Amino acid sequence: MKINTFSMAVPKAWLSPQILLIMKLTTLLLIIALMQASAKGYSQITLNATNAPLEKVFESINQQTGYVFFYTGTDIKNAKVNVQVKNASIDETLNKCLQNLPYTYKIIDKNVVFQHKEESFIDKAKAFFNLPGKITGKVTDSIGTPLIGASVRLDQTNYQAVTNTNGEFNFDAVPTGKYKIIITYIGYQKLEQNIEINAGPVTINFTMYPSFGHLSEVTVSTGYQDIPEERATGAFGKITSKDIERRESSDILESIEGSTAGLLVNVGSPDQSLIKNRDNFSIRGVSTINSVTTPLIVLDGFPTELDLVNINPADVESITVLKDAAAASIWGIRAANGVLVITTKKGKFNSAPQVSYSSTFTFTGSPRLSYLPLLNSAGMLSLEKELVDKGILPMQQNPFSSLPNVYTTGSQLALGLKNGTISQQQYNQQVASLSGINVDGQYQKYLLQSPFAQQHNVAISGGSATSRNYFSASYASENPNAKNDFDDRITVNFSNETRISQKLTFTAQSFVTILNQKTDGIGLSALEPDKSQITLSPYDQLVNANGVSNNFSYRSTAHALDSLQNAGFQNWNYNYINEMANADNTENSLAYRLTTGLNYQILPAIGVDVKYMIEKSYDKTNDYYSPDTYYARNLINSYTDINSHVNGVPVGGVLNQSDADQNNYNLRGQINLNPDIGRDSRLYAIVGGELRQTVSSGDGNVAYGYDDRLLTATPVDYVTKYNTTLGNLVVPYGQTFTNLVDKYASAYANFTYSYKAKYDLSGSFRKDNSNLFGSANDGTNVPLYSFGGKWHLKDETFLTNTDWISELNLRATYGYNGNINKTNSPYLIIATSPSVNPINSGPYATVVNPANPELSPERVKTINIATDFTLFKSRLSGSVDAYWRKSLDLLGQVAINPTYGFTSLEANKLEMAGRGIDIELNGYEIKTRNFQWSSSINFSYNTNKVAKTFFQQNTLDYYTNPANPIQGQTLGTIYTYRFAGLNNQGDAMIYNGAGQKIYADDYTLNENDLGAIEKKGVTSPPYFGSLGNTFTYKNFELYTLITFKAGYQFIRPTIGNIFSDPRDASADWANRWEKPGDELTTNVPSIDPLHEDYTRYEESNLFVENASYIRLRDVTLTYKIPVRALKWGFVNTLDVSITGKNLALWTANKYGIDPDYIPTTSATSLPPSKSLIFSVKANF
Amino acid sequence: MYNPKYFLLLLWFAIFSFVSCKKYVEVKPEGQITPTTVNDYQLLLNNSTVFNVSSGTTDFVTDDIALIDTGLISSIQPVSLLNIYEFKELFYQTSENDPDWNAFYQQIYTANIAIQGLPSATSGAPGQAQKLIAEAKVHRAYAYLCLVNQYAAVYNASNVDKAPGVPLLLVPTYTQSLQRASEATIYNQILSDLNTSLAALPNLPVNNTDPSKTAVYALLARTYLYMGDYANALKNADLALSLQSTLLSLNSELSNVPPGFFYPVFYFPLSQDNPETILLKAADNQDAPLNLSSELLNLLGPNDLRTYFFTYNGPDLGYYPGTYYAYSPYESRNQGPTVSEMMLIEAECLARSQQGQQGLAVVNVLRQNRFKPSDYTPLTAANDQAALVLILQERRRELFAKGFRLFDLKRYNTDPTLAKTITHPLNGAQLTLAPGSNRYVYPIATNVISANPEITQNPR
Repeated sequence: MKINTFSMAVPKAWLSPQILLIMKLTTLLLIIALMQASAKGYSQITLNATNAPLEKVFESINQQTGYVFFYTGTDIKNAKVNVQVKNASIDETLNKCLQNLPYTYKIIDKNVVFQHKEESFIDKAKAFFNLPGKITGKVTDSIGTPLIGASVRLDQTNYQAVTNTNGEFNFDAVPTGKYKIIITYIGYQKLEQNIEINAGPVTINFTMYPSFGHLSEVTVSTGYQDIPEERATGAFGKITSKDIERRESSDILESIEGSTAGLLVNVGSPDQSLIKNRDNFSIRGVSTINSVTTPLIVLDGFPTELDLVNINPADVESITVLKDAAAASIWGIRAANGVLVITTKKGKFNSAPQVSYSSTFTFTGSPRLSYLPLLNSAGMLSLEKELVDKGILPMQQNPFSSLPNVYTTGSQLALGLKNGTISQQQYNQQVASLSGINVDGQYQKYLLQSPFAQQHNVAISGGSATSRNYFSASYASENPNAKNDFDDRITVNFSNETRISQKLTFTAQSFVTILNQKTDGIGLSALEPDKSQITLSPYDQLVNANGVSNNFSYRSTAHALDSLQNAGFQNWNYNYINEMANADNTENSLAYRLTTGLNYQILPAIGVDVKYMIEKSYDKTNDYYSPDTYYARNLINSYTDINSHVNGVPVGGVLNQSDADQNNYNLRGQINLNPDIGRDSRLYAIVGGELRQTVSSGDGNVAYGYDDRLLTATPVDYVTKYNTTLGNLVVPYGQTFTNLVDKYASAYANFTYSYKAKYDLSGSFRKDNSNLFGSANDGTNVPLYSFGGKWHLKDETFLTNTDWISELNLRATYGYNGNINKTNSPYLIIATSPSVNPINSGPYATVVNPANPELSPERVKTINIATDFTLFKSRLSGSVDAYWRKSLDLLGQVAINPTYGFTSLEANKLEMAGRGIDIELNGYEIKTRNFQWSSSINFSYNTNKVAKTFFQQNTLDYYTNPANPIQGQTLGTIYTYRFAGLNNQGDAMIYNGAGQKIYADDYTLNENDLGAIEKKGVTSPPYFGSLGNTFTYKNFELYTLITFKAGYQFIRPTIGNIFSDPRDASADWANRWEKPGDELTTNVPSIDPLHEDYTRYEESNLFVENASYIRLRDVTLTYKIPVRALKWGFVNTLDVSITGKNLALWTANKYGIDPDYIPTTSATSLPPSKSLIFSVKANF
Repeated sequence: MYNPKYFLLLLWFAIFSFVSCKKYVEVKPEGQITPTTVNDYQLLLNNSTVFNVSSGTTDFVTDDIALIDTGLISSIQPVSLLNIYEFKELFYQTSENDPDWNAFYQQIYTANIAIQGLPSATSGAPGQAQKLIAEAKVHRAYAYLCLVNQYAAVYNASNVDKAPGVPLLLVPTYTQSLQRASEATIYNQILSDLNTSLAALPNLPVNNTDPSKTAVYALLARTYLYMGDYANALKNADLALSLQSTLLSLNSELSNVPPGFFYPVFYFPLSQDNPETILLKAADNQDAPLNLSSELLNLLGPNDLRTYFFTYNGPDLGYYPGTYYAYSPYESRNQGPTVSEMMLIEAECLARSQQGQQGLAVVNVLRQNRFKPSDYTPLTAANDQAALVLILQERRRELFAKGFRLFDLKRYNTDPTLAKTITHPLNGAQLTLAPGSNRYVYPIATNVISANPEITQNPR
């Protein structure tokens, strides 16, 4: 059979039509579905054609109305017609066209299908009525593609069959008589036809039409089954590979940011996409307070414990986001936060091999160190002098204490001046020269770099009649903003599906991912005061004027360290440049996953699935510190006897190794039922059970005196105590082992019932047994279930003639999901310490969990009411979901009277109520032949209230920590003190509950004086969403994505507590109060040893900022090179694109602070700099 | 030919037999365990962070401390130490934890776990479970002895049945009442725990973190001393000394210190290695700088080797000139019983029973180990009362900064000849604490009382 098609979106005749059709079917259908709108209104056709090829006429009708034509054979294509109409309907026009031709047509939705008049199915069936005995036939869809696996049976008999790979079936030796033949196929309208068997063979061909007006079978996946979208009652968000590929990233979550309403992705470490634990994301906000907050991730049918970085976004075919109870409750006690179901790409049956290739190169601007509120050199020197003058520096502690000491150049100078060891003139001279040094000059030059990333993908897919395969490989690498850091990733992916027989199908899938990370850089970590060894002061020079790298003494004064070195200690100086050069730190991870399955179709109505998945990941961290590194020297010195100079840690290198392994399996048995329950009803059900085990294990090892050339280490005495500069210490024992086993045994069931294709009902049920709550705890481990219904209003008679509505559904669901918390147990748990008792060197254990017999899983009840619609000839489609959620039995740390022996305990005592709205809209603004503009909007509203707390403390301390749940308030509510200005001594004042001004650090302020604080907002955005626009002009496509968050606040970090560590000082200190009168012009307090606690000042309303923002995330310009016109025969499609990422940000706060990356003086990540991404994509 | 229905049925049973099989999900945790064996409890009892800890704040009430360094006053951490020094009405903010109270009750809770669980624990050596129960009881007795002295009025035989002690918890649950038991009940529990644990314990421990018979006698001696039962205190101090009596000569320790080294305590054995230690109970705030009063420094005198080893000069570390501090941040400031404490109890009890000269003789043995031979002079007294005063002075010298002083002052205040008003300088002002003042007794932290109002607050 030869088939021609055309629509305006599909080029003609540049490939043989069959191949085009087979290979591009999905794409074609997708495009057809998307491009049905007419720019000229409803079915007003004007034609004036004389002796015109019918094909041209169709093309003209298509342009005017958006109708798409399907036909077979060349005769219709070559037919010439005369037709003159003006503002005619489609029927009038077509009837005129066909009046002298042997064709009939049928309009299905926006598609026109033509058939030879005499070859209609009914005619054929009639023609063969007299032939007895044997029935053979073929089932195809409306464009002739065989439907494989369709169920065919003769009603009231045992005759049943499933179509083979050619869509064919046969029944032998059928007794003479009258029969009703029934054909069903998922996603297609049920076909029924009466036939009469007399004698001789009967051959009948059937054409099936997609159910409910949909051309393509769009399905959503729960991980257990694929549900046709039109039967789905729950809130599913569908993200296609097209959406993912449009966003250039090696990170899946970053690629799906803004793709569906309710999904909030917070992109972490923007310069690094190939590392683990990068992003966090949520679906419809938070439903828990202390338990797991991340959604469950399901990969090709099974939950995965692997980090998402192991999955190459280019391999993803689709992602279904399960948002409500009906969608997610099949996943039971792990579904409360929603589920992300990832389906990877598969080959296609009957498809020639197809190769696709893509490469992207990402150039990112230099890291903006200036974004951080770092005090400049002059400011830091002035601050240090004041701290020394006021006796706050040097800090009063032992010179060899393990706490960070502050022996910065600035404080040493000020101390010298104070003690009279240098003159005022010398001091001024030094300060003047240091003040000229730029805070980020050498830092930027020696420790940071402009990030660069690249990714290359190759995929081959194809299939025969009985098997289909997909193979892909990719390589990605990146240089993040820390100089000397490097990450890369290799993925290999293979999937196969083989139809062993008509009833038996075998599937196998595997992927391997190798991640390598080199962390030799220092990067931003030199800003963290906690990393006391390497904190840089702004005037510090890494390299001196002669190009020689400088030494820094952080442990003590340079003098003290030198004298120790002379006494036989190792050099105790730190040198940034050398430390980076000597570093040898790697993290390598290998992950693989194998999935196999067998599907046996026992009867057309009954299939059995058995599936097994095993996934493993091996993560090895290997940090080698050569004898030259500060790390090794510091360790040796720290365990050197002060008297005998015996080295507890031998002189030499140190090797720190650790392994973290995941070892999981999942076994599932499932029965799929699709029984015939009458003419108007359909029932699909699954029942199954599964076993799951996850094992997280790890070990760590420290080798002292390690020689990387000989591969030897030195035995160490872990028992003897050394009288070191840090006290009496034993050498830390580096061996650690962990092994955590979790097991689940679960049973589940799900059904969808459909009546007259107008009413759908669904339900699901699941019960989990798990070791997490103990086997004795049946009473609390209740089954989780959901119910849902859907009403297709468009199919009701009262809307049949409402032309502006193409589709209108109402959905409602109700049900329960669960959530778990692996950190607690109903039993008294003690943990042995990995180290020995420091006093008697014996092993010991600690109570980590008091006996807590009332523990149970958390439950989340969700009600979802929604509508889906397609309006105005598909110009506008979308959905609106409203949901109400109640989280019950939430675990919370409740304060326990310390008299009982511990201070807190987890208990199922909290409740939370949430609600929200998800809106998705897709539409065309303009659609002409050469120019199209379409938009998609996702808008989400989500909020919650803590409905019940337990042991809530009505204290200032409790209220001012936004993480603490407060009854009646949103989780994450910000309470702040009310700033009352500075007094005439420069001390920060606040108002107490009675409205009196008191010192901010007045410790007599009654902790229960809640009048002293006020509610100033929430920390998570109640409103968020995205706006995507696509402009197409001929071969150019411009795509823009804007994301936004609104309605929330953040507390701007300010001065920092210089009394605990002056290096934590922020730029705000430059504006501090210095003399009376300054209080009129500044809000930054003075340095006052009597009022040294700035906590309440920093938590005051002065620093609450509106966090709302709009971000221009992506602008992508794609040029589809017209390879056909250029006659580039070697390639089928070739797209080149350029993307600008993070080009603009509009913030509501006036400081230009990106609320996703709140700047602190010890920030570990910077906001993303602008990136430019070049990409090539080709299909062969 | 098979019937598909049977296959289906089989599969169905296969699935649900393993699902209902609870055995599958029963996983024995590794690393983190529910204690079942004797050894599990042994591990729990060897947690020095829990058991070998004692209050580190009580010296701040006493005349041993004088905060004259203004820099220190402004930076003292935690602020509650300053509240204690200032005899404030409350020491801790509403939601602030009282580290002493919490540490002692954590000891009691963990000891109760062991006492409750050990009788049914499996696979221990013969007698090991009994020994561990005894250890737990000694730790529990120590915690209650500290609590009742810190948070209740001084022992007064005429009122001890009525005077509120502290909540008495003997099982590890978090639902029982926290009503304060009477002081008599607490003291009876202490004596009963000590007496019933005696039999199962060895004379001397392997590590001085573990209780032994010596520790039991020593704690009995201390308990009876605080109860004013000097005969029993003397008897038990002697029993303790009969098992352990080695004294460390500070003079011989002197040779370890390099000449001119400003931090001699570096070269002094830590409490856990000191042969004088009977049971180690370290101060829970070892880092707190204890700014010693000139009164104490004068009492010690410059030639006392305890001055040399256990005090250091402030300016060496950037402190205010003229300040002296106790010990080093590394030394645990052991508050558990030691040989010298037993000798001092022996001496005090002798002096209080009209054997002042014998008491002085005991103290002089101690003093010989605390001075260079050239600096040593024996103490002499004309009568028992004078001997007692000298012995109590020696007690103050020997045990300073180790948490004894507050409990001693409370005892002395009941005797008009020994009662004393405490004066604390603070930024030019003088704060005073009169003998017998309610403020000698620690207030109970607000967060303890607010959660369980049945706990009554001490009068202030």
